[in-house]
Amino acid sequence: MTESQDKFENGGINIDGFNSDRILEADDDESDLGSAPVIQATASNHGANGLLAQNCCGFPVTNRPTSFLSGIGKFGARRKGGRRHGGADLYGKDGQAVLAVATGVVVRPPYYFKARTLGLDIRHTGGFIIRYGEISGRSFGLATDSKILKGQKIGEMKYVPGAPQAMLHFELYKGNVSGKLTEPGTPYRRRSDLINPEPYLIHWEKNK
Amino acid sequence: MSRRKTIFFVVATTLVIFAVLRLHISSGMAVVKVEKPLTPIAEAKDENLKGKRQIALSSTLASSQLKQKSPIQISSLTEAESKHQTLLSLTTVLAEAMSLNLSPATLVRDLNLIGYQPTASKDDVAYMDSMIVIQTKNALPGSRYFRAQFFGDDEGHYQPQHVSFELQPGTSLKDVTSALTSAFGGSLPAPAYRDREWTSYKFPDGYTVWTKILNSEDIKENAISAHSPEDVGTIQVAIEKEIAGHEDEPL
Repeated sequence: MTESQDKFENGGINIDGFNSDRILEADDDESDLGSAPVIQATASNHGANGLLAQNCCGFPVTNRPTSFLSGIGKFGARRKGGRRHGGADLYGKDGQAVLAVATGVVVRPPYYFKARTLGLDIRHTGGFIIRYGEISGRSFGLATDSKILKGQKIGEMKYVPGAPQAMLHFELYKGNVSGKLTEPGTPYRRRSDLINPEPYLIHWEKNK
Repeated sequence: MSRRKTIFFVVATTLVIFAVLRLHISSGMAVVKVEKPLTPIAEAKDENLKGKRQIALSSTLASSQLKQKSPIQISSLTEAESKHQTLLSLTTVLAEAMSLNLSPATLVRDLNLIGYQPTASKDDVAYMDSMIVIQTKNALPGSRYFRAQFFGDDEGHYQPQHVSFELQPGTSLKDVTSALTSAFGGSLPAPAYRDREWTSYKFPDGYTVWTKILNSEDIKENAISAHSPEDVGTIQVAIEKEIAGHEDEPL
């Protein structure tokens, strides 16, 4: 285990005084994505899109999930054919609430994501986009342009048979480009502005 | 014969059958009785057509334009035969949509051919991809809630990600499996997952076909399709491209 990984798994993060050039992003050529990245932010930029700013964001699920920093649900976990996992899977219980991490607007209302679970895409204040995936089919009255409040319940985890547990599949995008979120031909099969959500999730969880 | 060719053959055969039927009808040699056109598209409601003895055919098989056609009734089919015809048609469309990587326009054309009155909605959102959702204003006997989702890029290239439909309670899962087998060229992979409600088949091209018998929880406040308690037992049939990065899972 690397020092940084150990730091993350013990929940100890320090965002002050880091440079902003080592935020691990999807297009980085990291040979070993199994080790956790270092949170990078400066006092002025608070990380990408203000994601680490005070009161920016909250944690997206109610109860503490099992670790999203290891195993097959980890961001960057290897898949068949050289593919990498483009999200972080926050495991929990069937029906567990999924919360909006920040204020925002629904840019894509619920759509079929996988095996009757839904995806929901929200553009949050600061411009970043989150794809909340594998949530239940229940309706929470969300439509395109619905305004979302930080902490608002936007869905529930839904167990898909054969998966390790019910989960929230969490994808984070800077939101500074356009085009398909799901993009063949890249290791993550995702758009170029995909970023590793782990540091932010850790930060939000610590501050919730 | 490769799977792709086989599916193409099945689809082509289906279309030819429709064409022959139509020729018989238009030439007065029909073995079936043609009745008045159905309700115009704008007035048709999903539930209006449920359970009625009818099958619809497009009047222009070769057209690739997104034309809305008035279907015709064929009263010689029993209700069971109509439902079975629906099942065969829909499973063929399902197989064709993903295996042949159909464009939204082609899918709309094919839906017209089997009697649907499809609608396509496209959302273009800043900083996002565009998505086309195809649904239908009517339902073929024994079915409802046809839905197809396509994701597109800035150049207007769209790929199907999800296609599904529902079959009313009482439909035999065995019949569904048989229809799927035919639609996919005579064979399906061994189920990747199976329990009392779910069955899934994983294809090497990266898509999954699944069937789900809806239970009482499935039909509660569904964000995409509305149900009532008597819909427990509905079978949803879908084909999906894996986008979650969970392709190692059986569903």
